[in-house]
Amino acid sequence: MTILQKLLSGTKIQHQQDRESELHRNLLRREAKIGGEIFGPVAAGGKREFFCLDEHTWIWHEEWLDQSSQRHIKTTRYDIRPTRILKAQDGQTYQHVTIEEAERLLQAAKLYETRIRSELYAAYV
Amino acid sequence: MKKQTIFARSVESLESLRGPETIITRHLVEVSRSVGGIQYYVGALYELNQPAPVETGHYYQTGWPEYLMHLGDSAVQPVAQPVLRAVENVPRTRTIPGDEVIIGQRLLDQLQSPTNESLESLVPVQSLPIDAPVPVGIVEISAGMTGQQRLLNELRAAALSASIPQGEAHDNIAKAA
Repeated sequence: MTILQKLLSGTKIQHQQDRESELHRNLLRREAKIGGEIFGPVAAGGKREFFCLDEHTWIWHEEWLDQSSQRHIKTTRYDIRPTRILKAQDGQTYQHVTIEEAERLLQAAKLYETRIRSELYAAYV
Repeated sequence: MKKQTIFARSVESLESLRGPETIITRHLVEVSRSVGGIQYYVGALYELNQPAPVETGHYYQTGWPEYLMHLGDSAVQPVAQPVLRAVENVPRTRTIPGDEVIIGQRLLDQLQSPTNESLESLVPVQSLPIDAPVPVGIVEISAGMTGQQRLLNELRAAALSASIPQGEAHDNIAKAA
């Protein structure tokens, strides 16, 4: 293989990886938007995203305006472990979720999967 | 040189990146070591950004990355030193090209410097006790969550495998949906 061929091959692989990463990000954005809709309407000026980040992690991102139009942002990360579910908010230390919160999280995850399966991935399954 | 080119959901996702140069952090995903009869475990290593920007996909792309190490199920007390010693023994065999090397090296530098102030943020002060009671039903719920996540991964993989080889037109599935 010539040097030029090696360069072209490397560029092609990099391009492939870039495209895959970009597509993956787009999918996550769409999932997050759909996920944010399963908890009902969001107040004016607010924003909500909920999505499965990877095999262990769910993210809840919420933005809202208070009465003085001050913007608040809270990001909650749920870490799913075989024998426990942990959550951390805005970089704070982990804490166990209650059984009630865990049940609601599971319900949300099921709704999420149903929604994105039909609205985003229907053509691929 | 750009600071932010990496898109890493976790260290596992770095595994797919390959290059000729050196380093990496992939082995930090599962570092386990017994110290004084207590098993310490570094569950995972994530790159995060604070504050979270507007778009979801940018959580891991903009801002200054914050490396967060959290201790897994068998963690006990604040364990900076044992964890650091464990990390030092981790083989650095992964290779990541370009800017990612900087990120990986910065991380390793932090982990291996006991006097580095950033250690406080890397290892949470309040670890969870090893004998913390597991709420009734939580195991079943965790299993349910894991099942859901497996389904989601399959959906994504199907979409990606169908899209990547077939050109730009299929890249629009996420945008058009």
